[in-house]
Amino acid sequence: MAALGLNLNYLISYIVNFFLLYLLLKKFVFPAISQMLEDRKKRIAEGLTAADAARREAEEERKRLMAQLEAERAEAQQRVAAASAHAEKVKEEILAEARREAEQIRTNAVLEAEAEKQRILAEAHKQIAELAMLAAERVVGEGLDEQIQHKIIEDFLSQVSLN
Amino acid sequence: MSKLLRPKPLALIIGGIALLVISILFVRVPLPTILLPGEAIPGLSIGNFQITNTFVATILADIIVLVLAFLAVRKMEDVPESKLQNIFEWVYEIFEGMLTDIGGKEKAKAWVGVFLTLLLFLLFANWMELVPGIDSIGVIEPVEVAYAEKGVTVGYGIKHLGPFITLTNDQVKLSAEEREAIKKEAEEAEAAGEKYHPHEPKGYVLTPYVRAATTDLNLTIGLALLVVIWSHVIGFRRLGAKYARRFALPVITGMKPIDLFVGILEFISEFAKVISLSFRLFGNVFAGQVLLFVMAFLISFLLPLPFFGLELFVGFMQAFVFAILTFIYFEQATHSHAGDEHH
Repeated sequence: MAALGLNLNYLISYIVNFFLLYLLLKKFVFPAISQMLEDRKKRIAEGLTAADAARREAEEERKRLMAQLEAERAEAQQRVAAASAHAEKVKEEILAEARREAEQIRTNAVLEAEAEKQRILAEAHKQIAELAMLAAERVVGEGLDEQIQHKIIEDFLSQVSLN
Repeated sequence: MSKLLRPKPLALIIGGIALLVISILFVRVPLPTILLPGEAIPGLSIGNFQITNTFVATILADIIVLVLAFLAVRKMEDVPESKLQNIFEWVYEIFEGMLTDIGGKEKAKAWVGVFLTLLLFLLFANWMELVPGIDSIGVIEPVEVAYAEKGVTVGYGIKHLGPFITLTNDQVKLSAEEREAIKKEAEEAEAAGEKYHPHEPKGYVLTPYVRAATTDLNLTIGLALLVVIWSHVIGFRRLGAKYARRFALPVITGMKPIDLFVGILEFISEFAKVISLSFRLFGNVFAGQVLLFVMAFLISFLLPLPFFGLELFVGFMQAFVFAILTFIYFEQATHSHAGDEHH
């Protein structure tokens, strides 16, 4: 044992020395380091969570705004469509009105023309009848009974007009 | 080849060879006295406690570890400016992670302190052998005194260099008759209650002030005893009486004969733990130191260099092995042999 240099005093002093070192480090150094590491880990985790939350929030906000924008666009489109439909309707109405008026005017014109024609025809009948009567008077010499006269002419004329 | 012929490598090679030649031809250093026990530093003691150079190294290693550790945690910052804080945090995190892999979170947290204290202390204790010149600064005393006290038989001449005294390479070996005479004189001096001092010293030896602490068996055995006993304390605290069953102590009835046999083996293995832990550390570091001595003795320049690198690695490795084995012993002590624990 002596050759190996073993000596109980030294042995114990080394043990005590190491144990003291251990106690000092354990009391003052290791907890500080582990506390620091833990705190930092927590802070980083918190930061990451906060960043995540912020990102999620921004995403939601963006979605909300997009939806709103979409809704507004759809509404505007609807409004434009409605307006254009209305315009179409108005156009149709105006056109129909115009058409109707034109028809009216045409109809009126036709009617008037017909009436005029009738009037002119009637006038012509009358004049022809009178001319025919005059001619007949001249031929017959004597005035025929006016009623018979008229009847004959009427028959004649109706035959003419029937042709 | 062509790479070696460029000016810079060429200059290095030539310079290296020149250094080797110079050291072989002109610079020869004495081989330091190699002693197994820690050497008492002459004239340095506290009361009855003779201070050895390994003890000085222990205190130095303590101081280095404490100063570094306290500097590291003096001003803890969340975003560390101090590299020391960074290094300590890094070391702490790496080894806590490693211990978590081995023994789980709870045990790693409980014993990372012991692990790191062992690692740091042993690291600096081991590396102290690497400080250049550490084994050549010390107290010079006559070889006769060294023989009477420690059995040293080889001394060297001395030379005055200004205020310093240095050993020369002139070796003096004490002959058998001289040893006898010294023994007698020393005994006479002791009987007379005086300190033995030769009239005309034939040679001198140097006792360095500092010698790597782990080259002292007292330290390594002390630490090994401490951690093995510690592991038993942990075992008893965690398992209670069940722990005793591992050693087949008659605490628990209903033992099978095989348990007795296993118990005896376990008992022996506890001693084996102390011996293997202590002698592994001691042997590696002591051998490393002798290796460095001998290399410097053979060729002073350049040759010891690769061995410094080797010893740097060995010093770390041995510290790590001691610390990790300690953790494993602690961890093992918490496992019951009764087989009622689920893993």
